[in-house]
Amino acid sequence: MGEEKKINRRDYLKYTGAGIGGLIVGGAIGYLAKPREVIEKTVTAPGATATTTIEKTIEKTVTAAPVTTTVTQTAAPAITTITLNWFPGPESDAVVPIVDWWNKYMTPKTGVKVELTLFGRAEHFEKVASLLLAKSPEPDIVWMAYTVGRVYEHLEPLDEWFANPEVYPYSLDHYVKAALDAFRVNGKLYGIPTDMNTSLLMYRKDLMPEPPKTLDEMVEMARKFTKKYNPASQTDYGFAIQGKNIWFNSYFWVDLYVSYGGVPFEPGREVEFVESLDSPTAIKVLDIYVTMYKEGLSPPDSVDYEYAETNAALAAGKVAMALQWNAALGELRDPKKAPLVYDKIGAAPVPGKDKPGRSEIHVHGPGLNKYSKKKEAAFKWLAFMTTFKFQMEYLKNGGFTGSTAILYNPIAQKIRTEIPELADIYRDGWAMTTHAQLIPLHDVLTRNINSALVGTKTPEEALKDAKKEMLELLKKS
Amino acid sequence: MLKKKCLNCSRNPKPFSPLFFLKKFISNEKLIPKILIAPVIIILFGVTIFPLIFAYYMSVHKMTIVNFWHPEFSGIGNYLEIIFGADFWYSLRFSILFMIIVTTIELFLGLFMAIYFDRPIRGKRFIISFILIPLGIAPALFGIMMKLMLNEFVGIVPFILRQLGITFHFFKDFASSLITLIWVDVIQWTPFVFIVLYAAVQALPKEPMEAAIVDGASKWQLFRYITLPMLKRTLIVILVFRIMDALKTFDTIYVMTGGGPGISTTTLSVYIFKLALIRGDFGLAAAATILFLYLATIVISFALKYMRREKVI
Repeated sequence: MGEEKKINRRDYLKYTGAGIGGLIVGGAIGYLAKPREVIEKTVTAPGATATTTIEKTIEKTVTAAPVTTTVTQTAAPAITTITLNWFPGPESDAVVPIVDWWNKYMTPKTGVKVELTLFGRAEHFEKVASLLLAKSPEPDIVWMAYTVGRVYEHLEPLDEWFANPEVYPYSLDHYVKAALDAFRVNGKLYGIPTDMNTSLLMYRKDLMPEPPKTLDEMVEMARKFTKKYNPASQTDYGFAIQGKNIWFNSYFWVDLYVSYGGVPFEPGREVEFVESLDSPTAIKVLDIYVTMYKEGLSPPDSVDYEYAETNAALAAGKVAMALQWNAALGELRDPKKAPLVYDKIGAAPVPGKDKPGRSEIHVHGPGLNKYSKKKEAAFKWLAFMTTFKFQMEYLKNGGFTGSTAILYNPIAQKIRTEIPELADIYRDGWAMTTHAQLIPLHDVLTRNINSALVGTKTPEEALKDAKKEMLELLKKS
Repeated sequence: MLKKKCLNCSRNPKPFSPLFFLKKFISNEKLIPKILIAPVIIILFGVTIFPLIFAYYMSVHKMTIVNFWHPEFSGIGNYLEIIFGADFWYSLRFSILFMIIVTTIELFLGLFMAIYFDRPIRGKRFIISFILIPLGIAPALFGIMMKLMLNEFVGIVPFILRQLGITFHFFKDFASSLITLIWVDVIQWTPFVFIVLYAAVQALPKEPMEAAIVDGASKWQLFRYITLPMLKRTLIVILVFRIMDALKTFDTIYVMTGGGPGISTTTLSVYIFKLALIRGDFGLAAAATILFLYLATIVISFALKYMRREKVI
């Protein structure tokens, strides 16, 4: 039996202490000896080759910004740090380089340093709402969305700021009208439409050279590309309905209904829209929707489809058409994400009654926290965000924009090849309501549409019930 | 005369000095436990008692995200709206139906597996580790994973079924959605029932079994008259846990069906979530929560009474 090697406590403490001390000294030397990071950034002159008048106007205002001229006349201003809350994901990835650029080149001139703060994507809006309800002064700028109607009382109305040429020498005229309207509550503007969203008819352009322009054509095409009716069809189903009982899925039906001649669910027209839900037009459009499902033109599980399932169906090449959010286009045209169809997906306006229809526009973007203690500094950044430079850089980095100056810009159209297809759709879009009850109203409508799809209610009953519940909600608010 | 020296006197602090109070405080045997338990009480108050009081407050007000700071008092209005609304009762019925079905299946399946694994099996440790995997996955994530696996076009399950000549649509209507949700819950929670019962089976004394075998008892008789009675207490504990858990199921159902088609798979938790965060009506959601709490309390009190009678607790 071998003898155990022992170490006394004094030695143990001595060696351990020496080890820890060595680590601390080594760590400190390493930290001090670490070379400083050098951030090299090439700053291009955006809009240098801009050709249209509107671009030149915006470019001019950017360079003539009073913040810049004032700064050149005075000594370096004291730095005010503002907190900027952005939507995590592609949106924040797009803004990070611009924030870095601002902090490097604009902070010494404007005295405003921007600090980005992100929440989780899933519960972002709930967190923003909680902070605003708690009257927190930070973040100074909060990332808002179509839910602005619920929290607008905690946001700063921006109209007066934008109307003051001393703090805002630029113009908002280049924005898509519907995009700005989609951030208005009771006529007042509460945010800048940085990211603009709509729904599109995504179709297989290799199968149908021209997308269907009317609802009847869409149904006919869907039948043609459903194996059940056409065994030679390359796709299993002609259409994918997004039918899951999740509140925003009613947007697709609303788009079809409005395109078929229904009342738009616009700001200020909420009651009119709801009142029209039992109209023959509404019933007919829902009846077409339900018939498509019942006749098997859409996958049986599509009553549980939302964004991801619809994309999967299109990417797998099993479905010929679907109404889908514009955000899906990037994924569906990515050879890595959709190797089967990446070069075969076309985007078109939602079909209408006798011509292509119009889609709703809803927006995401920053608003100014009413409780911020640094509103003036925060507005300097907000003002910068409306400029051509910001919009173009944001687009280059993967973001989107609500500016027509970008949508119709040849450089932007080269950078993002989907823009030529989408520009007119955005320009002609209508603004979805920003009513405080927007989500509950859509939730009621979606639930009833879903019930009609699965056959627990007839289209007429579903719309009648939806109308009744939605009117009650509107009456309460 | 020599003055008797007090040994402790030199250590006594001056009267009314901080040290004097500290010593007095430390020597107070009644106060010490209260002080030590105070942090826990404060935390408990923050995370349980305050939310409960606030929920009562919200339930008697018309409170939405818009009027959060100036809600209007509504008395029992919210309670009446919930009680006379059909959706609450439908959600309750569905929650109970779902709870009964999944608890029954999980209990039987878990018990069967526990008994089955109570024998030498090659690779038993590996198989048990494999069975326990779903238990370690967050329910919401598990729901997303299952939804992908069941997707008609990209899912592995429909692919395998198609190879076997079976076509099944997992979310087509209420019946198929219910079956899917039940199986997802069973896959996730049977491992919990199994592992607890397996531990209990392993701990059972072998003597009664051996005696019964000597007396010529069949396998069924061994199970029915020896194993099952000895597992009774463990089974009751598992039953209570699973009933409480299944009654408040939320994550997987919200992720997989969103409570649909229509409201057909809406549990009470999904219903309350939608009231609060989709409809934005905190008052109604709080009233529904408190009603749910009372209903759950009735179920739990019966369970506790039964557990006491059986001397489980």
